[in-house]
Amino acid sequence: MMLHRFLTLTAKDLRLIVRNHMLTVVVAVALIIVGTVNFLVPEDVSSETVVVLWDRTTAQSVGRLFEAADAETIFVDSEAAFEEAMAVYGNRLGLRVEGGEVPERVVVTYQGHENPEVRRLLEASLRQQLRPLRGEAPLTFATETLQPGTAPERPPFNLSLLPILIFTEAGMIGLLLAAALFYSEKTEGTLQAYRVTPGGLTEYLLAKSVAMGLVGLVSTTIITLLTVGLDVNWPAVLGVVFLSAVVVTLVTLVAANMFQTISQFLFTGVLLNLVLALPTVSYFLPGFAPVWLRWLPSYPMIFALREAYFPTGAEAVLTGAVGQILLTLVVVLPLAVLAFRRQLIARDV
Amino acid sequence: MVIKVEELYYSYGGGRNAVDGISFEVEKGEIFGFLGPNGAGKSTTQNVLTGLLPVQKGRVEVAGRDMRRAGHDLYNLIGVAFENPNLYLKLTGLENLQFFASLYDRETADLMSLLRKVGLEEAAHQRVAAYSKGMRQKLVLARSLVNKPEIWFLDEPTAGLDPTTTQWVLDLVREKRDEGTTVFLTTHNMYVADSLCDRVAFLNEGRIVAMDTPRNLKLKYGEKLVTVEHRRDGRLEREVLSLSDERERERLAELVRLGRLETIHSEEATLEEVFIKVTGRALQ
Repeated sequence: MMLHRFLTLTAKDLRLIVRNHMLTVVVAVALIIVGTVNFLVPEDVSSETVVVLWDRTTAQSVGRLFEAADAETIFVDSEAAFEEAMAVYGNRLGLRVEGGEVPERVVVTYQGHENPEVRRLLEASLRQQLRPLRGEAPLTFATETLQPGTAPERPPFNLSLLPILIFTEAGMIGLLLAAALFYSEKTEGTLQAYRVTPGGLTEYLLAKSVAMGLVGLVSTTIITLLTVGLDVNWPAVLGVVFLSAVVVTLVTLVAANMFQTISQFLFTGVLLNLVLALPTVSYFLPGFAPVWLRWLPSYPMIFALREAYFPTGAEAVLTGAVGQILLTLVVVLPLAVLAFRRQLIARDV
Repeated sequence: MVIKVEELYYSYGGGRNAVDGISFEVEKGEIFGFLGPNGAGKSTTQNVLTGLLPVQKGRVEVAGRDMRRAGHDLYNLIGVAFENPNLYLKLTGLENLQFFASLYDRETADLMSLLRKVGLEEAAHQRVAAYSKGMRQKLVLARSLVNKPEIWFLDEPTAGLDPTTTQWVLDLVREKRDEGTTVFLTTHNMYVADSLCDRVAFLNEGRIVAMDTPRNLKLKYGEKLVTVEHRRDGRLEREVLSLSDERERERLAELVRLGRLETIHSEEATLEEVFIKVTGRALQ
């Protein structure tokens, strides 16, 4: 019976989404994104090699030297961050500089396609570049090569934006639409009418979240089909988008329920949007990924989408993300029901 | 007893209690009116009875269930019609009923028959946004009946309605009572209470100040009056005389004896007058 109520609620919410023209807005935004990706954003904005630098010297002077040199460099400070940064595109070069006050040893990580001449030139260039720090002190080199297939072909720049744009559409627009849907019910007073039926708050919240998840699938399907085409990991893309939209909607509903009107909620909504958008920084700067950022529901969504669109073979990224989103859902749902019940009673809704 | 309330208190915090130690019982098949001005505690009491607010202090039983522990299944047995027409405006009348009917765990009413009963059959497929206020109020009443409730809670069911629709609502409530439904009615409309209720409770500042049948309350608190019209020196005069006052009784007898009476009407106190007498304040 609970399942029947949940399905009825979901069907009702979908009907309201359509009749309130929310689906029209979602489809329109999806088409704008498609146009932007296909016609406005260039496929390639940089062909330079990006250096991933892990300065392990005690003086930390190599990092400062590279910063001053204005080179295109990603700075990392751990093995995990180094590996993650190296796993992204095929034109990255890894440097792990070891030593005390001066650099003593450099471990260079190649992609594997560089020929010996290029490698010798690179080592000479590095010796020259590090001379201000080490003087005439010896500098040794070690090399390693990523296994073939570890680093994928770099996707065109415009397509590499897809995870961010899908997240914006399914997550952020979904956030605003979920709030709009909730406040329309609040204004009509239908939530009060619902509360004197056998229906519970768990079904109510889940149905809204699932409805928004389904809307997210529509926009994701449109954007993906018209940009990348059919050649993506569809179950992963749709699964990640759906679960993420469900979690974001739940969080939105809890936040929205703390305010009486949508205009009162707007500031909090924008703030929530900004916080959830923070992982996009990590997307472009993989070295910036503090623990608190990784636990935002949007973090696994963005990185799992990247893996789903542009597979690197790192299945763990996908399964880990899905696990994290599910875990967030398991934690957030009972909290949402509890918070909702308390607020409804406090406001006599 | 279908509803049993003992020493119920409810506070929203701050000063006085919204409900301040009230007790009453409602029998099966009775129309029980809960009367009082705005802010008297009527809606708070109804919200506690329907589980929208928790029981803070006291004891409340509805349909044999202790409201402190009542589960969602209670809602299969009760129907609630709110004062505000809280409906999905973007859904049609029929879709509204279909949605709410699907939430119950028991056999529900035939929805088209229900719409026919409330005079909305032709508007069944129109969106509620296009309904008039009267039509919306009728749909709210229909919605509260989809689960064939044993207890029917009505909050100001005639507020803002025209006289014809008001009469129609009163007839519907009597019909449901005759079918065995218990009706708990909150209102500040004394005409509705007087013409509909088997018993009424007057609520003032969170307390029940009087509770009986409308007739008994009027007899107990009202004054027996007659209004007479008679001619003196060719001019028509009007007097209101109390049957409780000896001198005024003699005046009435004199007018009868002289044969000057043209009209005579007995005057009962209205429930509103009784309310003012009991509480010292008007209902509006």
